[in-house]
Amino acid sequence: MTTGVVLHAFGGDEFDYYTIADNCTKLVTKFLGLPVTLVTDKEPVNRSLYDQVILSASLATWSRTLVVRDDTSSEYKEKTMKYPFKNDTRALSLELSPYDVTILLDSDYLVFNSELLKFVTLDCDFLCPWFAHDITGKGGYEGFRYINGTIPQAWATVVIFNKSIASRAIFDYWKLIQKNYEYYQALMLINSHFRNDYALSLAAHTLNGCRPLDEKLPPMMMLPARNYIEKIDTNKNIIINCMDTIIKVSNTNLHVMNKLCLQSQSICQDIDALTS
Amino acid sequence: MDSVTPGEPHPLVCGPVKFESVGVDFSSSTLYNLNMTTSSETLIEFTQLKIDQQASKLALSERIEQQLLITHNSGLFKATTELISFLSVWDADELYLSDMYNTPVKINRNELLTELKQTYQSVMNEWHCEFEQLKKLRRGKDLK
Repeated sequence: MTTGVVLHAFGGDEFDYYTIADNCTKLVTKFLGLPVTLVTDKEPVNRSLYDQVILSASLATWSRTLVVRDDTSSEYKEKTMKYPFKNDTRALSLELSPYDVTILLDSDYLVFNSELLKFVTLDCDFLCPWFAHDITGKGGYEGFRYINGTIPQAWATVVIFNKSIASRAIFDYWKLIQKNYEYYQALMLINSHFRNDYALSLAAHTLNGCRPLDEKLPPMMMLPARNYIEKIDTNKNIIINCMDTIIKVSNTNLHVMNKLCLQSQSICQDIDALTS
Repeated sequence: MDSVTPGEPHPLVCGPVKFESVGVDFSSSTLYNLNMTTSSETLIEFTQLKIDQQASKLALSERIEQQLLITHNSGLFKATTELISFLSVWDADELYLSDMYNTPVKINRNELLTELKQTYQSVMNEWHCEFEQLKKLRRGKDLK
């Protein structure tokens, strides 16, 4: 049985998803020891990092806004960034994955321990987190437990699946929702562009007999976009700047919403030092 | 029933507290030390430290929760004092146990108990060490 990680990275003007995916891959290789397949739209510069590269085209035309800290100012200021959101190949992950068991990760999900390997050995067809924690402890994701009061919300950031009939059904339904998003948008009272979290939630919930799933990954740690990683040391300590406060976490997997900090030179160097 | 004047809050509805109405002289030094010995800057710094510490402690405890999970016979179990106690007193070598996913899993009592104890011991040690480090911090910037 083969196990590996699949990442998707499609370029944009604002964010360098290729560099972000490289960083993610270095951490996966170091802490999970698994091969990584990249689904992308151009041959990666660091090709040797990857087990396989699958060239694909994103047809998504959505854009998304993100409020991040403005690094050009010495005082705390925020800026709103609008960027193209090319997330449409994710629903194809099952058919693209060369592995029997796949860990599908967002490229902005940083792996700092081997906890995910526990779930690979479980005899589960499909696993994803159904809750997220704000690691700064300031905001919180309580409001994201349900999609507009309809069904529980899953997070497509980390998904573990095999190629069983059950997993295939979820991915097929995921694609159907993506293709007919306007209809499902109205059904779930959603007022935003297509999001894989929503499609995955509806597909998994419905195909579980319209009931919340018992089998879940533990809550995911999120770092909201207004905060940024200041430093990662070689002991896996992550120093996070939360506007006016500093917190330290260590040995913790983290979904980082502030893409700018993930592509910064200092963080790239820190990850290189940690993984070399 | 109390009568309510339009525009006035109902007596049972909490509104702004009128301190003078309770008949306490808040300028009295017997209640409050008006000569503060701690500067407001120090109070701000202390509060800031506590905010940083609480956030770090919360993140640490969430991570520890996940580290306490182990897999056994394709089942997911958490190393808790209750489960360790239960398995310690159960006399059969094999039994069915409901895992974290509410699935009955056939387990080998001794094997699982050993794994749970090892996990519990090492994870709690790690938690204690890191928790003590966080407690020793004097300033938020010491985290760096």
